[in-house]
Amino acid sequence: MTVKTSQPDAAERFIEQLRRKLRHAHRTDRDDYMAQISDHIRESRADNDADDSEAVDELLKRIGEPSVLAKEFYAAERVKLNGAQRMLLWLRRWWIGLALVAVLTGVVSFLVWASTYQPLSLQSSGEYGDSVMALSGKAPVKLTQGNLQPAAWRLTEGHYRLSILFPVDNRNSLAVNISPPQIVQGFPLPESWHLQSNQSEKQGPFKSARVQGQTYREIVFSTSYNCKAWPVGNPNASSYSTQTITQIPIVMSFWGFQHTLEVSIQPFTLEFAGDCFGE
Amino acid sequence: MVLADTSKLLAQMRRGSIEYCVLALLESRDRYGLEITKVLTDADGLVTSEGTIYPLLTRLRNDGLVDTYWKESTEGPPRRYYRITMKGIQALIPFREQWTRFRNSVDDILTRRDE
Repeated sequence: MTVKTSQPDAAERFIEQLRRKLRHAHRTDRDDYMAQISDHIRESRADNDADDSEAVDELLKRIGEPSVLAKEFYAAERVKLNGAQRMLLWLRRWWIGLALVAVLTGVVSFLVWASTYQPLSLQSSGEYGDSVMALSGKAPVKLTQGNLQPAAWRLTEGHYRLSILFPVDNRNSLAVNISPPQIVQGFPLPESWHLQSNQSEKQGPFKSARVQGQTYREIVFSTSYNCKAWPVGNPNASSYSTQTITQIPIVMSFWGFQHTLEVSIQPFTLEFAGDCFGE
Repeated sequence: MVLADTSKLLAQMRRGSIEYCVLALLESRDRYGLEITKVLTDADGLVTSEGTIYPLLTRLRNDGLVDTYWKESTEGPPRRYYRITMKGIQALIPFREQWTRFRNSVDDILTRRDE
């Protein structure tokens, strides 16, 4: 007895190949098409000699290469797919998915890096200075001698202006933008900000500035205090409140990411011998 | 311009006309897939791969030019029959008119002998 397997195998292989070629298609449409092709094969074979392998091969040849059929099928399917569905179909191709994952990973890594990038610090060799001067009233008293750090100033009664000049250094090679913060916590309003030319010490307004890599910008932060001495008989008159300043905030932006940094400065202390408030 | 080989030439000529051939076939009576395929395959040059007719039929159905129904068959399982719709008939009328004009114009040009 001879078992004939070649004829059904050829048709089944054809169907399987076509199914693989259509793996990206909508399941319902694909199943519908596969059913139509299967019916076509079955009925064509019923019309001819179903066991004739040559006839089956001829039939499959007439039906067309699975790749050609799949191409036609996708072309017809695209007509009715909307944009989102087409995109989904496109994404389902594994190599595009893989490339997309790689690109997304790269983008996310870059964004994480950019969001945490912080190359600024106080420049150690640049010009630095803090000063308190009286605009009116009693002169401020410097409590520390010479360049002894941290410096300390006592404000008694009058209108005082505090200025801090500090150089901000971009120690890396990529440029960043800096701008002053809206509010500086711990200081009275109003504050003023200036940029000082590194060469001429000339000052100009500071709204926003670019700090190129391996360069620095000199920033002047100023604010003022209005102090009234404690009235006679006030129990607080013999005590002082103090404020030690160690950091000045600066807004830094890089690739659209913006954050406020606290730039460490040389600390100094203000000692208030009265009721001091912002102007 | 690069002249197309025969298969490409036929594919270009087939494109845009094969749908109307199917509609014309269904105008006289409803037919099932294999039947449509056989007629088109027998017509010289109209179909190269029988399997490509089915996506075309699906497209016609999606466009509302044909609809389908199932009908019992004496020779086996039920068959899916295709039937032309009113929209399909309305699409066929202008094509038929234009095709005749187009064919006559092409014939005229191809057979012209300048005197």
